[in-house]
Amino acid sequence: MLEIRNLCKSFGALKAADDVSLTVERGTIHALIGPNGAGKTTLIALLSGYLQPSSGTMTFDGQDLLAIPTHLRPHAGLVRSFQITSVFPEMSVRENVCLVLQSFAGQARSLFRLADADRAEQEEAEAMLARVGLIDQADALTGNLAHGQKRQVEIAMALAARPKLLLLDEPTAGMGVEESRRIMDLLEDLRESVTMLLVEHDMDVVFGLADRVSVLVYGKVIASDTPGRIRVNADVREAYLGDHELHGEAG
Amino acid sequence: MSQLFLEQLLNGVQLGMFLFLVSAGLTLVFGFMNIINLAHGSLFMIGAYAMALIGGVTGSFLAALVLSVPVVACAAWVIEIVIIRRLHARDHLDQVLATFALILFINEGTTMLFGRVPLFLDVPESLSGTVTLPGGVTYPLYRVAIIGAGLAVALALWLIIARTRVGMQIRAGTTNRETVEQLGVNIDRLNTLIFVVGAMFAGLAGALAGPLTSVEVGMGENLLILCFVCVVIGGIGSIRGAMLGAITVGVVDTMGRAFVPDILGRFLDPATASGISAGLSSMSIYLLMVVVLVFRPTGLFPVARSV
Amino acid sequence: MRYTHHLRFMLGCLAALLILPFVLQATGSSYLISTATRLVVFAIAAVSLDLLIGYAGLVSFGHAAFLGVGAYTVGILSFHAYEETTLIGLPGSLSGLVALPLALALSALAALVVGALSLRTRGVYFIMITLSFGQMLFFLFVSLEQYGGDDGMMMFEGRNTLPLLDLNDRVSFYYFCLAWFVLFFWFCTWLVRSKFGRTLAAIKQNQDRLSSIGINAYWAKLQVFVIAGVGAGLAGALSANHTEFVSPALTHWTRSGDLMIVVILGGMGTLVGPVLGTFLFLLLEEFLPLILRGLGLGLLSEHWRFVFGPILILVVLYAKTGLYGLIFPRRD
Repeated sequence: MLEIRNLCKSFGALKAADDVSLTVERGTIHALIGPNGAGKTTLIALLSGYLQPSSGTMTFDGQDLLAIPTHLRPHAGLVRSFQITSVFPEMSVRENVCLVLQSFAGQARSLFRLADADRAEQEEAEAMLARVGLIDQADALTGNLAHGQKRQVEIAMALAARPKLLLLDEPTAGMGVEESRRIMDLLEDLRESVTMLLVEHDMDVVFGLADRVSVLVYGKVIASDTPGRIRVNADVREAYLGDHELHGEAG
Repeated sequence: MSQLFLEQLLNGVQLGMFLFLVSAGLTLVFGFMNIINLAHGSLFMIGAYAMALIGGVTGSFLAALVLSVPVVACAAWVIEIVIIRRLHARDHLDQVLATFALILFINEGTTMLFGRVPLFLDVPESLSGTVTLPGGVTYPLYRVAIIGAGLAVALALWLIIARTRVGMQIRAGTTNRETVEQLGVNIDRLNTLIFVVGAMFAGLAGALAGPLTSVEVGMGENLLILCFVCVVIGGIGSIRGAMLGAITVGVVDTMGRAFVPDILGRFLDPATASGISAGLSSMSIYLLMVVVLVFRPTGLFPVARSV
Repeated sequence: MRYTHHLRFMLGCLAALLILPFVLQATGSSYLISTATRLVVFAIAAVSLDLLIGYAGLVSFGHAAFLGVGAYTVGILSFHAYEETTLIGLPGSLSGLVALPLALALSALAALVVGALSLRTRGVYFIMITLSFGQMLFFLFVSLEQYGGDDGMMMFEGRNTLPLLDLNDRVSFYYFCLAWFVLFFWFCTWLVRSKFGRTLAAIKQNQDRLSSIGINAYWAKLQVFVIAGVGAGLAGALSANHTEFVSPALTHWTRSGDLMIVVILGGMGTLVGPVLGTFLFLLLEEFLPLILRGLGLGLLSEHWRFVFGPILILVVLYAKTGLYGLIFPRRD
């Protein structure tokens, strides 16, 4: 589904991606972990086109990703969610999702259809909101939601884009236990239909969901393996020295 | 031809100096305070009127020059405290409108005080001669003095910004406002200082411009828009950019006016040529800016910003 | 609740505009019909600017340029019809069926070019580049010596001609402009509620997010820029017909400033607001001098802008919702 080969990105002297190679298989949930500043978000930005790599190649679904302009990558099936919540605050929750739906229906610049009059679109949006557990907030102004709820809106928006590959940048950050649980269940449900590249700090989520885990440290992939092997990998333990989560999560 | 060319080139540089004096304040206020001040041109006009008034009363060019700059500083201080200070947290639209309204107020007030008839000032006796430059070009002394004044201000500004503590704070504030606030700098006082100093340069330019142009209501705005072009071409917040932009705009504008009619006249009949070239040379500056922005959307010397 | 209130208000305004000429004639102040026409024409331009500023968050400081394009199209056609000369081989025309569509087409073209280049920039740079384009067109019109240069030109043949309708009759002309206004206003109301309108709102709120949901903000912005340009061009064409005079003053940058003032005064992002703002602006222009004289401030009456400036500053600083906000206060 996604092939990253020898990808490099530097900001001045800082190498945020240092010869990264990574393969995400179709139909898997691939987790990307690593300490803060390891370059995880940079990698997401490179994939989604918000940043341009210094060198290297990225192939998505058989296409050269670099040849696809940023705003067309979602249409090709590559959709991201944001680590820092980035919604449209002065719209209702439903409208945030509708906006995505109209974009993928090719109606972003349509003058012929009134936004409020498209029942089908709204029902679809409500279905998405029901899946992320936010249906009772559909009419609320997005800017007024709690942080965790905005994250849920993010995920609903990402789903509305009907992605083939979903780039999730810390989807459960800032959520309560219950919401986090719900999102995990949702991602589990989606496993069949959507491939996912998941950046996450919460090891419960990582080891609960991922088929494969890659570990990124200082812009380099130091290991890429099944969750079970990653857990006992010496290099990874080295990089996470003193990080109790990795050990403590065993059960 | 080369004599004329050199003379026009100097005229361009001299216009560039005016533009720089006004642009310097504009770009600092833009860069550090993040405020668009359309009324900056009014400060230029106030400088020119202060010069005319004080010069008329005292009969002394030097006294008028020395006194008109503090007058502008006072006016700027009041404007900063009463209006500009309230615009920090606002978006650019509010700033444009509020300072546009300020122009209406100042222009109308000036008309009430001085009427609509332009005032004309004389070049002072001591600066009224010409100098012969290397290469045998004679050039008015007054204009040479203006170029000198512009360079002196540029040098002083550069020294302040590159070498002093306040300059360091200004540079830091232009890139990252929060850092400066966290360092415990009194940001309100620094804002006022920058605004007033910028205004003094504009006022100085206005005072010096008096003897070269007619002093009239609206003189500030025409210059102001040119200065916006300089600032934007150079990159907002960059003094170096403002200097480069000002000289470029000054030279292009002057040369365009001087030579485009001639060049066009070779292909077209004189009447048509003069009509078109007047428009063309007025437009050339804006064309230049458009070209720069299309290729470099944040100007030639963009100041890195982290906020 | 607020919506029906709103609708009732708009219908009331429309009714008032419809009966206005009769009222003015009945009260013997039919000279004000011309002012009413100005109101309607100017309001078209203000509403079009509101699409940019209020809905898409695009602070265009050169909107008057398109007024000029529309007006000069009408003026130049009329000039050649009067002189019986041609321009690049084409004859002039007095027919509204030629002049108006051409004015709209040319302002669309101008907006397309200006927008395509300007929209590459953002923020302050966008404000400045639109201002520059405005200045360029201003100087372009100034340089058209043949068409009066600085001073502009009279349309000696009078207003455009239309089948069935005599535009030289001031009441007919008022209704003609009103019809255009209503049509344009209705179109804009539709636009902001359409899916495109939703995309514009998204651009205003969080432009950087758009590409991640597959929308290219540039094309959406260009589309609204052209639509707004056509609106201003329409206003310009009507204005040229109204005054039977075109001059570069129409595209002076202060005119762009006036348009922005009107939008803010009335309340941006509301469409109705700019209409109210236009009304208030013309009212102040006509009556503030009289009021000031009445208050014994004779000196100020000639210099009403001396009073208007501070009023405007207060509005910008403390009453951002404008007149619209006064009439429809938010209950939250």
